[in-house]
Amino acid sequence: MDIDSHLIAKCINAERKAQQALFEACFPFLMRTCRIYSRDDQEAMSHLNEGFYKILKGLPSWKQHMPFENWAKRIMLNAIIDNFRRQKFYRQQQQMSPEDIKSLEQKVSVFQVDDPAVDAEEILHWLRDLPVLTSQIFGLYALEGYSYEEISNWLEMKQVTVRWHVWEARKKLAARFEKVIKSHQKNL
Amino acid sequence: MMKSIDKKVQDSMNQLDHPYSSAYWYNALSHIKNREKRRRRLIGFWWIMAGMIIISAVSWIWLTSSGNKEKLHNSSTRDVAGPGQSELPFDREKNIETIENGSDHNEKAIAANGNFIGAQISQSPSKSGMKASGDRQDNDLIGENSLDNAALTEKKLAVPDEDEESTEQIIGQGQEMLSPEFVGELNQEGQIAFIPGLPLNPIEREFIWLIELPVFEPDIAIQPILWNLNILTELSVLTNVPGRSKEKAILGGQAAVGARWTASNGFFTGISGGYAMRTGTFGNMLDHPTPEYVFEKKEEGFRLIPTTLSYAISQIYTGWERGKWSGRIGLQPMYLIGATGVLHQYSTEVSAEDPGVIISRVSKVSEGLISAPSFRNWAFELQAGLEFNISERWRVIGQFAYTPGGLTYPLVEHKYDPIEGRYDSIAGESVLKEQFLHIQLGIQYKW
Repeated sequence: MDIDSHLIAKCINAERKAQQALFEACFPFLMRTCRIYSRDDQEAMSHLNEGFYKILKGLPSWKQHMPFENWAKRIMLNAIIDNFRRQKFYRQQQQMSPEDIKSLEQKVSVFQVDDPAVDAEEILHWLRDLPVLTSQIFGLYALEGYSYEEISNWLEMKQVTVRWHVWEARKKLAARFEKVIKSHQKNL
Repeated sequence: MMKSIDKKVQDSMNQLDHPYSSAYWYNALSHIKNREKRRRRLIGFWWIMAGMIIISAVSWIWLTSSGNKEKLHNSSTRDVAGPGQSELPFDREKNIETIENGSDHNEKAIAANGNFIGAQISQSPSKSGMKASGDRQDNDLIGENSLDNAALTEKKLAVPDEDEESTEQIIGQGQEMLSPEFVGELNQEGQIAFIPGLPLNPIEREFIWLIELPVFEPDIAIQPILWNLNILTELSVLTNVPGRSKEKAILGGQAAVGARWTASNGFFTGISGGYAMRTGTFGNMLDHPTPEYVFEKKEEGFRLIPTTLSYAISQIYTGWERGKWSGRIGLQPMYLIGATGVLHQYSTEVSAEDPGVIISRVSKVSEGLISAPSFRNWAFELQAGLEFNISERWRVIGQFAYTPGGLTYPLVEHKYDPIEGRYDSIAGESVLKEQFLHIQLGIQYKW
């Protein structure tokens, strides 16, 4: 990625050519993030536009020692989460009993699967089929590497709820993998 | 090989790729431009609001300070006239007569008073007072209150016989002091009614009336206009004029807080700011069918139908008050702060041979915040109507509101052109462009 302080300075001065160059440089990883956290590509494009606008506005606060990709990705995720928070279904949070929480960690370890040859687009489709909140939380935890605590603070919900969503996502994804494995075995 | 779900999904997502196209940049650029424009407008709106608040505050300070000056002036006038005299039932005709006959009468009175007072002073103090009052009534020269004052003065004048000489001296002093030069001096100093330490004799009383006249009755023509400030809360509902465009209806409401200045001559002007909502059967804002002819005739498209529009409003109005009724005209700029609506996406496939046979029909309706197209944010209403004061604090308002050009519409709608490989910009349709005349009913509370 060819992003230097000179290009950033031009972007801050609202030079469209420089902004276009930055957009092209950021497009692969930003679009990937947007697609993972959106229900369809139309929504992903809408997230990309809003997120990139926020990145441009936030450029003066970027410091050279920060890895640009991580910084831009974080802003993009913030924009997605902000948009997500505004939606009604965000309020519908799952409630868990203490027994459920205890058994949770044990259950999670069960979801170990063989490595079937599944296309990335197919897995993206599975992720999008998950309930929105579950998909978002799983993405933040499993793909971005945020901790339960960070996610719970970010989304303003209890840690156990976050854990439950991760577990729910794993369970549903595992079922999908199982199905694929079984169909592979049948074919063989 | 066993692998955790997380790791498997992570690896797959890292392989996820999406080809870049310049169309994405044009789309993003248009979004950036719209956001920048909206930001500038928002900043402009807050500058206008801040300006209005500053102007209101300065006007209020200026008006109240000039009001205080007027109040001060009135109170000092009353002080000069004397506490009792300000409440006198003033008989203008009598005073005019006094002015006309004044010089003649006073000359006679001055000449006669030496003997008159001297004669009366020898009698008892109370009788002499009564007698003096009676003479004044007979002569019909002064009003009732003056008689009371005269009685009081007579009491002061009722001195023992041995003081007759000193009384004469006082009268002499009085005549001397009431020379035109002295009266001029007194007028300038504003100490006409009461001369400290000096008792008044009947001649002085006559002169006091003459001198007081210009102080007591200021010229009405030069009275300044007084302004009164009120803080108001206003709630109103709005609907379209019956009989126009029956198939479409609008219902709205607004709440505002404002300030209103009313002049003593009935003229008033006011400003207010608040929130307005417009809802109703607006009709399509965007409608884009995209017909395709392959093996079958296929039509795909979407309709965007707004349901609620939210505005930040400010209002400037002026009018004239006559009794309980007032007429008013106003201008209300409105800034669109949010819109919700219904997005209806559809796809219909019909047989190429027989268009009446529908092969498939898919329809999806989603409702929520409209954020995709950028809207024309500014609108304004011209208002004219009547007000009626139902009590000291409550007032009802009925008025017509006219919105030139309709409420709002998407400024640009981006449509991807696959042949050119870019997004085209198409202006959207205005909401209620034929629904510009409304009736507004409101109630106002004066704090």
